[in-house]
Amino acid sequence: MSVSIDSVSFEYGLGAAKGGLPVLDGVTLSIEPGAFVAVLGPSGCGKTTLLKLVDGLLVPTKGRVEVNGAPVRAPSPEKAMVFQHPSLLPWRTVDGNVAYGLELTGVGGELLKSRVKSSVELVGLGGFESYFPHALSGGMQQRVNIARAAALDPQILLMDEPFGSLDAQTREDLQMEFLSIFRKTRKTVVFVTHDIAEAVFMSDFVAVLSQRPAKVKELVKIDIPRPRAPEVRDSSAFAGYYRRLWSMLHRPEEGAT
Amino acid sequence: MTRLAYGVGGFLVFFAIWEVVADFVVRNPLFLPSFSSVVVAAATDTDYGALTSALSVTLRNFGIGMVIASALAIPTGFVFGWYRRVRQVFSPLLSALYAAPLIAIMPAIIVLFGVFDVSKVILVVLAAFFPLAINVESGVRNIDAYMVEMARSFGATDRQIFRTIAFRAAVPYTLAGLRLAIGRGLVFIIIAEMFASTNGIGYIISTYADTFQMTKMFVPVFLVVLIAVILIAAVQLFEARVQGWKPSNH
Ligand SMILES: Nc1ncnc2c1ncn2[C@@H]1O[C@H](COP(=O)(O)OP(=O)(O)O)[C@@H](O)[C@H]1O
Ligand SMILES: [Mg+2]
Repeated sequence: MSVSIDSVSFEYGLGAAKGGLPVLDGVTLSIEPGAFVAVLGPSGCGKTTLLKLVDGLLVPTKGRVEVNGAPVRAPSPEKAMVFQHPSLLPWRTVDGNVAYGLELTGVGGELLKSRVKSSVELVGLGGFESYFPHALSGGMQQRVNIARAAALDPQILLMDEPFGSLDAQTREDLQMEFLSIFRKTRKTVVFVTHDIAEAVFMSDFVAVLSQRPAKVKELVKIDIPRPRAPEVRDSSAFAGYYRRLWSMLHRPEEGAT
Repeated sequence: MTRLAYGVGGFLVFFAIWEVVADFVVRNPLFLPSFSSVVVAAATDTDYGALTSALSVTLRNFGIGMVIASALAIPTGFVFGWYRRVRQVFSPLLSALYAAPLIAIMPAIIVLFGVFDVSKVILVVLAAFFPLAINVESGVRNIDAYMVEMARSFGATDRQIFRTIAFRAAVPYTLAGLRLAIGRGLVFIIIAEMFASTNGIGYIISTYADTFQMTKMFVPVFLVVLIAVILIAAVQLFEARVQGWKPSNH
């Protein structure tokens, strides 16, 4: 499914006295079906906000968000969000948490069971089905978070720094695994991160956001063939993209005349 | 099992201090009989028939009061926790009433409803209602915003969020409130029976107290403490069962 973000602006209302906090200022981004797009930007620039707008948790102050040509008004099962914070229900087991999104959308019975089973196995948590979240490592909790979204078999995956809180080793492992699992299904992925290497390694395109209120500074196509092995990180092409994105992020704001 | 041993250990320390204070500091059994003399009285000089029938009266009134209080307080707590407007209007009142000295209105209740069971039940309801309602409210109010947002992103309705998150998240708060309510309810029913009653454990306590039979008086006091401990332990046991997912910090 395609995602089209067309001149989207967004302000958080801070109450009558303070007015609004402008977060996005005319963001435009067009995402082809099956594309993996990373959204890269400084902390606090509005990346999470942008993702919530695509999910339908928030509604733009100005502009339009469309999925397959239809305006997004509310969350719907063809999109699924993987939150930065694992947001697991502590009183549910791994299985129960993976089932949660399905239950909410009315899936039950055998279909629910088989979807949960395959989703749990997909993220490599077979054997941990009856564990409660507190007994899982951060990386495993994030796997549950991903499995919960994947169980819905959404066309669009919206991922908010899903590996951001993990140690470097676990992060790189999960990046690899995620690619090998989800490239096959050709889902459209919008992947928020503030980690340049992660953005380059995983995506087809990297959208670089400016400081808040954010615009898309640049859209960079990452021309590194897939499948990408971990060694890709040592290639000169990778280093070139890394430097380019680094300087974009650190370049003083232009156009702030 | 080790937990039980530690708990018993705490009581033993307490009894030992009591014994020492009674024998060497107070040295007047009219004010404070020694622990050992209470044990002797319990073993040799107690009419357990009378005590049992008094206890059944007290526990019946207490039980009815607790059931009514729960039936009122738990839904109230959920409504207050869930609806911000309701909370904004009534929450200060709820806290104020919780803090209000119930003892002060006890005479009024007894005048209105007599020295009979109804008064006792009403007092238990009043005593138990507030800690329970306030705890349920804070349980619902403090549900994790991240969880709610996650649920919304999966298209959850308010009802689904209530059922799958708020309801479940309020369980430990509700049980904590219940423990407070049990303690408070027992204290109040005993006080009510002491001041205006013709039966119940409180009545027995006050008759011994009025006739300066301090040693005997402590036997029903112990019985009340024992019942509180058992009831609260039962709540904790239930909590351990339904909250089995929790990292153990015992
Ligand atoms: N619910 C909210 N109400 C008000 N301000 C918010 C809210 N959520 C985020 N913000 C503010 O909006 C800005 C962008 O937030 P966010 O989208 O979370 O940034 P990012 O994900 O890029 O770090 C920040 O300044 C943040 O403080
Ligand atoms: Mg964010």
